[in-house]
Amino acid sequence: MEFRPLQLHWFVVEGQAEEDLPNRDNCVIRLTGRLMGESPVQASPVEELEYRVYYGKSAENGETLQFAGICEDQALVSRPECRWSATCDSDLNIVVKFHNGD
Amino acid sequence: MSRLIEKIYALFRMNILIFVLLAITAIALLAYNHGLNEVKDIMLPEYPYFQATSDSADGGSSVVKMSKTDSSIVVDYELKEGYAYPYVSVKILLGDGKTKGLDLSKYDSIFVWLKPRGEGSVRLYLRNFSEAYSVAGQETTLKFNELEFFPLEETYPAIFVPREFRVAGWWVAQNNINVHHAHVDISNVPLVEIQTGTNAPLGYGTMEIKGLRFKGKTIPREKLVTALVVMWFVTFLIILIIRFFDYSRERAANKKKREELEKNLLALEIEKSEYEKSSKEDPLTGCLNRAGFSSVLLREQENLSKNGCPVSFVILDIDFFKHINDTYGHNVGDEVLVNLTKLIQSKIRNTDALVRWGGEEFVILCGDTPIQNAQFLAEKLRMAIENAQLIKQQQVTCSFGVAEMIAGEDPKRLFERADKALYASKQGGRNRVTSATFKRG
Repeated sequence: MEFRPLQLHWFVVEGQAEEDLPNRDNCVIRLTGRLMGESPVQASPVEELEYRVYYGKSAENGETLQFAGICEDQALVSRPECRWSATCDSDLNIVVKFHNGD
Repeated sequence: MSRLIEKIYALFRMNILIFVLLAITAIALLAYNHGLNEVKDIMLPEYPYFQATSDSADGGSSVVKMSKTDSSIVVDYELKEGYAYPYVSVKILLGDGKTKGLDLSKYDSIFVWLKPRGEGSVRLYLRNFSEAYSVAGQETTLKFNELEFFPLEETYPAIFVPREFRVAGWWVAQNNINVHHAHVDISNVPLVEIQTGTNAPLGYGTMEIKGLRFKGKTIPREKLVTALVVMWFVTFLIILIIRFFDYSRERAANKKKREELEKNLLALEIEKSEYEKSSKEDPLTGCLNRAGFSSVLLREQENLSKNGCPVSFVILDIDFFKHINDTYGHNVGDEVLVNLTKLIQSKIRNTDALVRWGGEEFVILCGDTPIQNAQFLAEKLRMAIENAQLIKQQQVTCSFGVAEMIAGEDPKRLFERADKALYASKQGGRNRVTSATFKRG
């Protein structure tokens, strides 16, 4: 079994405070775990994956967090694993969607 | 030497007491049986205060004549009709002969040297004076403690004991003596009489009297026995007291010894514990060193293989630490290490183990923690370090590598993985967290 270095850099969207985000810590932990197991990430040939992740409250539901991830390396942004979005509701259900290649 | 004597004394002192007591008892009994005698002799040839009398004083006509030899007195007499009970007697005066006599009660035997001519009894009177029943100057009021015997049937000298005496009934009747005073009393005898006995045949007779001896013990048997019993009792009481104090002293000494042992044991345990602790601790930061880490790793490996509890490994390295040391000196470098340790310790759980891996590299072993949680922890630590002022000279940041242990794998593989992740953080620009995630083939 091989391993791949993965970096996640987390940024709260402008206008929102980190401490106001519901279940922020648990959502981040769950999403991290989920991402590590997602097929596009697993199948990626890139040696080291590095994401910049923006997150904040959902405009539709204040109890849900929305995440948007993009590879730091701009040269890779078109790859399937390099652009995704995710939600984390009040029950900590995570839904991840990869957008490239849809 | 003196210590040896003290030990021997301590060992035998109670036995010595008993030996001494046994010796005293034996000597006392021996002395009592073969000595300690008190003897009062009244040998008439040398004794001046005696006289021979007859019943003429009572209206009789008997005649008595007394002569002395070197060793005795000879009383020749002739009993004649006249008085209802003819008699002759020898009166021996003791003390003043009237009211102050001798205390004969302390003697336990009376010897009488008397040889009669012919058969017939002889009476021995111990006449006692007591203010309870006697009148000074009236001889008849002296109590008649009497004993009548046949000299030819007795040994020579005849030997009597005080309990063989009785009080003459006629004297009790004549003097109206109260029953409480009608017992034998020889505590103050001013007069002893040796008299011809009851129904002595009329006619001539002779008594050769050598004298009397009163023999007793200096200490009465009862007193001796009482004294010995008291002595034994007191001795055993002393032994009991000594044993009690010995026991108390021994107990106190044992207690003190036990306390000292316990104290020493405690000190040893503390020393051992400190030694063990120091052998597993980094002296500068106080967190675990590699030796201390081994036992924690073993425990977590077991937990993973037996219970499936995930174990994660976070390795962190201070960015540009060499530059800090080179620029500000090693003291500032040490300050960074100490303050960083404090900060991390305040952010991790008690169950997590912080280890100084070497130089500026630290490791956090997180039991029951999957990789995503460890990554989250690492990210929090990264931010906390970035936002803290570990030293006043400059901001300090750290790079992190995170990996999760696989059951049964060689720990070296885990370290390599975490190290690679750390390397990626360094390569990526430092002050970041990199996780070594699984990659399916």
